[in-house]
Amino acid sequence: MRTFEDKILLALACVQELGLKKKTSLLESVNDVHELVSQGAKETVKSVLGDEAASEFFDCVARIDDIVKELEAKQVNFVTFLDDDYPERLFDIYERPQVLFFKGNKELLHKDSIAVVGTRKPTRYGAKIADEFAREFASAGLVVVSGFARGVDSTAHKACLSVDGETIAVFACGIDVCYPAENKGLYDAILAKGGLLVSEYPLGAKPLQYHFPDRNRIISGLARGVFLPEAAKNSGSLITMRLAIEQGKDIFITPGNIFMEEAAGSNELLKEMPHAMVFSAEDVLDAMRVNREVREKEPVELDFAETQIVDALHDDELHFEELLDITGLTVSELTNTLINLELNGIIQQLSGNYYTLA
Amino acid sequence: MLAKVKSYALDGLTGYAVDVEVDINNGLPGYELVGLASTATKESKERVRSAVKNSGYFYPTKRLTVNLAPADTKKEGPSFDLPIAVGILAASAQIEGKRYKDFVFVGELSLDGKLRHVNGIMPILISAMQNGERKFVIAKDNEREASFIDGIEVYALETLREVVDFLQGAEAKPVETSSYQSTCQNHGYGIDFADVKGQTVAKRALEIAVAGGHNVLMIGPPGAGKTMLAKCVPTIMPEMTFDEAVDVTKVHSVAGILDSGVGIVTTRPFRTPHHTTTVPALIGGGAKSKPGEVSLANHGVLFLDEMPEYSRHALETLRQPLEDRKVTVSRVAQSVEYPANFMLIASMNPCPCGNFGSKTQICRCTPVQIHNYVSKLSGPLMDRIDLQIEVDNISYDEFRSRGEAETSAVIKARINKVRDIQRKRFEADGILTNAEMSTAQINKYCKIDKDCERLLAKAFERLNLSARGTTRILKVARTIADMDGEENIQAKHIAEAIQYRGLDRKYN
Repeated sequence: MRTFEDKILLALACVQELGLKKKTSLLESVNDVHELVSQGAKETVKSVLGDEAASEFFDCVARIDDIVKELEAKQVNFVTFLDDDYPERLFDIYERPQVLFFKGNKELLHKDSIAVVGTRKPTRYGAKIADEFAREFASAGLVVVSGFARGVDSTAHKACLSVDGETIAVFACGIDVCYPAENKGLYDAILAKGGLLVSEYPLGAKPLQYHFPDRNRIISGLARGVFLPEAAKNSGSLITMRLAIEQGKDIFITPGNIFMEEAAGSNELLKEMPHAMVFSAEDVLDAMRVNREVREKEPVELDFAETQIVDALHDDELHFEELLDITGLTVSELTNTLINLELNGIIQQLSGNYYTLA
Repeated sequence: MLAKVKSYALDGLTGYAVDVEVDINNGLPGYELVGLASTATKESKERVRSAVKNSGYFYPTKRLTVNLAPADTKKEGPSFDLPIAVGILAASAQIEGKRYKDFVFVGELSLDGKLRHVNGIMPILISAMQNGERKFVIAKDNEREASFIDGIEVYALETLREVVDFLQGAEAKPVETSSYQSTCQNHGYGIDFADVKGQTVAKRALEIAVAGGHNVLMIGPPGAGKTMLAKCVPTIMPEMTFDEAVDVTKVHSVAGILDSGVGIVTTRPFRTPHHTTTVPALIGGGAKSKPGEVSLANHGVLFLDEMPEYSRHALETLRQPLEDRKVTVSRVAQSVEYPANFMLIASMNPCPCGNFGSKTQICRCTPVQIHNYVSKLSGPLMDRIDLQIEVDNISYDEFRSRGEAETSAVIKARINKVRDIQRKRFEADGILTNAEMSTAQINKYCKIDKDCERLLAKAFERLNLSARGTTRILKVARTIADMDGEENIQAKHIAEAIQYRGLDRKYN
């Protein structure tokens, strides 16, 4: 059964398009949450929230049972900071969310986790790092937290699910709103594979611009460490990193190409804090003192040509023509060998007829 | 007096007889042209009068009535100038004898009495011949085109005066038949596959495509050489037979793009309509129901550069000709059928800016832009394109050159063999290539064993291929197996065919 205070906090959270600052200052203006609905507090509420939001708040309070029912119907749950269930790590951060909506496996909120953040338009290099690291984190038993956005976020979620790992997606909109829309498949996959969707915004809330920086504090807040593969200058991921530093999280950054604008932001941050530099997922896991089993990869038998190809790809990604030179095979033989290697998960085809080790 | 002169007109690619009747009556001088003549045909009045006068004849100052029978079909173009002039001269008794009644006249006149070239002479002569006509008088400019038709007597003359003299018994030599073979030798493509450096994957894929009659989509950044590759494709297609050449020439002649100095199309057409093309220009149509690019590309290649830039409507209308290999252009007045048996080669950038997935360049497009770009190519259209290949603009100076690249002739020889295998296999089915196989035929000719099935299943799972692509993979695998001379499709053939699903793999 929900307490009266919980319901009031829920009502406050259900006011659409209400900024974080106003909510916080409203709660600071009273000694106890239930005072908010007392007769005497009406004026205070109005003066802090403004007339419109205040009347919406009172409206929400009035139909709070319907709101709870709607949440239940959509299988969306919530915790407030007054609950024992409220994630401990999040409790400690500045401007913690008063109410957290979630859908899926709520156990994940209390598990050890790492956030993967990054640009929406990663380079091939950045995407590869995000994919590989997220896989390793998930395999080591960490929950991977990310923001469900395009690019690095989606890559991290997908990589995590591909090894049957656990992942938390933090939304900048209502939990029933799939943004970006093309991630519908991922939305369903996260729920189906025992992941968790989290948001501080009420059902149906739109992904407004100012939600994103606020959302980032939850991403870093939920995690014990934050990993950044690549960020341009002015990137939103840098905000997350600043927040993470303020929140006292462990931060990890991989160095990027110094000529690429896409890595300028993360490289600059690295210059400030060189200790955050990591070269492998193991570096991160060691720093976070995560115990992990060393898994033996299943040995695969390669024939002569396949060995040649794999050896050659150890150094660099190579073009089809170069592989043709190295192996001396005919086009059709090489095509065949490559597709078999790819189907066995040993190599990967990149755009422009380039190949790399998977 | 009344004179009746035989002529021919075109309805699409078929000719039909038109009788030009000229009657000269007493009355106020005047000229009446009846028989649904279009503007160009009506204007013959002025050309004929000047031509008659300037050839030294007398233009009757009486009441002239000209009828183009049958009177209920629309007559297009200036090709009735000559028969009308002959009719007027005969009706005014300036031509002696009735010899003019033995000939079919087709030609335009210039004001000085010269005979000018008209479009569509080859289809006109062929239809007339089939209808039993044997003797023709045409313009000298049309001589080469007419010379490839055996079994008729064609007189190609230069002026109206020559025509009249000839009709009154002067000597003239009929057009001599030209040899298609020797014409072919003198007119080649001027381009060869050996000129294309590198691009081994694309070359191999194009060889497969031509061998099996498959349509191809090339994906690659600007400047990767997609157009160059496409241009080379006709050079490796099997030699055009004379019948095919005539098919092509008919359409080109009607469209007025035939080189009258050669008179026949000796090389497989390569048509590249610009992406601003309208639907009638692509499919055929317009007021005159002209053949479109798909028909001009008959027996050759239709190359759509930057395919997603074409209007969606234009792309969708391609579906029917791709399926039926002909187009029917229907207008209120008439319905015309043109052949459209072409190989489609399309190219596209990976995204609007061209850098999506590049190793060195950064793509500036939003996911929505890329999605919109790719989704211009609808599923049903893509179902008709069996191979999707990636072409990249890498500088080949970086690689050691591996000796000489194969010439088109070598590749063509291999393709001819594969085409023979298919011809034998499909003898009873009435198709020529693997690409044309129906679902039933795929089940019959593309049986695969357990190994292949396992491979396919694995590919679907690991590479996120859509099941929709299965039939296309099977068709292409069939062609690759034929190239290996194998009776049955093996796992390696399937594996290679999977490699040519670039679009599916890139954008899922």
